[in-house]
Amino acid sequence: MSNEMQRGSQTNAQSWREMVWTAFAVIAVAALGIAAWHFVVKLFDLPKLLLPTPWQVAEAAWQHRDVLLKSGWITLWTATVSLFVAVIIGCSVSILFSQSRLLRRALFPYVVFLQTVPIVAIAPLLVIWSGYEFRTAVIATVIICLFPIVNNVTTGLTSVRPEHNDLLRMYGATRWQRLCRVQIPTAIPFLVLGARISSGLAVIGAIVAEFFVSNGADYEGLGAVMTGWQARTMTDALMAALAVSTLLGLILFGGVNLLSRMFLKRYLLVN
Amino acid sequence: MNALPDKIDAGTAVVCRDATVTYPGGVCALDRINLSVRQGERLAFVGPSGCGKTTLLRVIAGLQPLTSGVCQRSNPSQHGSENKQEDAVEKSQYDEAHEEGHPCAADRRSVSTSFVFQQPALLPWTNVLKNVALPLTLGRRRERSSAKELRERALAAIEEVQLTEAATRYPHQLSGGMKMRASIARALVTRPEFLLLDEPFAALDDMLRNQLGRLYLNLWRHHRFTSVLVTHNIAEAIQLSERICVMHRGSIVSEMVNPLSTSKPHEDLRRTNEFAEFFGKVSDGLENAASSNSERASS
Repeated sequence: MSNEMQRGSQTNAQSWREMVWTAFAVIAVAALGIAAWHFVVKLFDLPKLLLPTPWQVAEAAWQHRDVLLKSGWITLWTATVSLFVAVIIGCSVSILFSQSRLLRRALFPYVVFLQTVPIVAIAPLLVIWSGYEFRTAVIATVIICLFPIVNNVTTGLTSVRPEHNDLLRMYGATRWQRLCRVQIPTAIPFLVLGARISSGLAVIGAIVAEFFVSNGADYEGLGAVMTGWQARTMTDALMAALAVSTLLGLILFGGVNLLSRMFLKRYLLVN
Repeated sequence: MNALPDKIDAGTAVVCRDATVTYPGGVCALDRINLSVRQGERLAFVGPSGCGKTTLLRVIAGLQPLTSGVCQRSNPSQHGSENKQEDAVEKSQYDEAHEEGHPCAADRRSVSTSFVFQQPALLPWTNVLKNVALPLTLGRRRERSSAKELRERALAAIEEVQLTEAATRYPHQLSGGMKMRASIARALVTRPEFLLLDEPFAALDDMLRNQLGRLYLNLWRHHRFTSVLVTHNIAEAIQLSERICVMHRGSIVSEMVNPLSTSKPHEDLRRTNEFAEFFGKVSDGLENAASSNSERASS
């Protein structure tokens, strides 16, 4: 037992060391990228309108910090709500799919349609049907987020190990027992994977939806702010907004990881 | 070979008549198997990989549909009432479609049958106690006991396999032998009248294999369940069974009553001349079957 504990603490120390090294590598790559960017702007003497220096972008970010914070918060809220709704709808659809092969075959092509339809083509229609509202941005974002979740969770629900299938059949498990005891726990790592993919898509979806929804509305998400700055050719501010949107993606991705580690660790450890 | 009874009687646990399984693509896994297993008997199927041992075990368990023939299993708990003999028979005629068109007989299967798989097949997201209690909570006829009673029964089964200290551990925290013991506890928790074992010790080292073999024999002496063991290890079959069926290419080519089944303690058996003699006999049975098949193929 003491050997096991010793091994456990060694593994913990090892994983901490790995995390520190990973963080160092990520920061080093970012620093190198920023240095290269600065060097290119100075070397070719590029105008600020075409490509500002990193310092100019930082200055613009500080100057517009209130707008960026407010609009970033709105976009983050839109993306988070949309991701949550997509997880609820996606899991429900996947559970239905897992219960009937016929249903899965009949309806899955329509789920693929959600993935293939360009959001810029569907967003104007959504505005006509739902108005310049927060809910329209959410609907558009949910459409973008849904496919990775449905695809992953359906795969998880139908990937029960053969020996577990035999075990359930052996003891005459009902459909409900099969679903709750084995299918859903098996699908949880797949759900986390789908939610991670969708967390990045949710920010993209929210910003693209805001390009359309913001017209004539009191809705000032990051997409709406970027539309205005683009019209005034504020390249440095636009790049600051881009950095904020990247940060939002990282926050959402990190949030999904954190929640999954807090509540679903035992399902993730073993699969 | 023993003559098959026409009708399953009180002393018979399983009867298979012309049981045939042909997989899609024409591969014949079982070829007109005729077999009878007495209640409380320990039977072993030995043979090379792919000879149909596991398929036959799955047929007996009701997990594998037959292409033709019949496999009947009695329910010993119902033998008290004579005129309900027919009700006591569970046929492996899989007429109930279960999941996604795959026919199986799950709903007709008695909970008094348990299966120990080659892999421990523990649910990795839950602890040993809940894994062991799982069979008590499954099925339409699941135990209507309180959570406390279920827990006590599961703990009793865990104690039988000497795993009490690991009851709250998760499968990934267990060694291979502990996982297999947990799997055996799960099989025993329903107090089965049939215990079907599919190469349960194949992935374990020799010492652990012997240890679990002794545990299995002790459990059998205590519970007297009917047991069918699949193994490709002749020594294991001799140590753990009363009768050995040698299988080859989907057929039972010979049946041998094990003269050593109760003569000596498990650990001493391997050192005897009788063991070596019987080992040779079973081994010859396997080799004869293989050579006659290759002769047939060459002619």
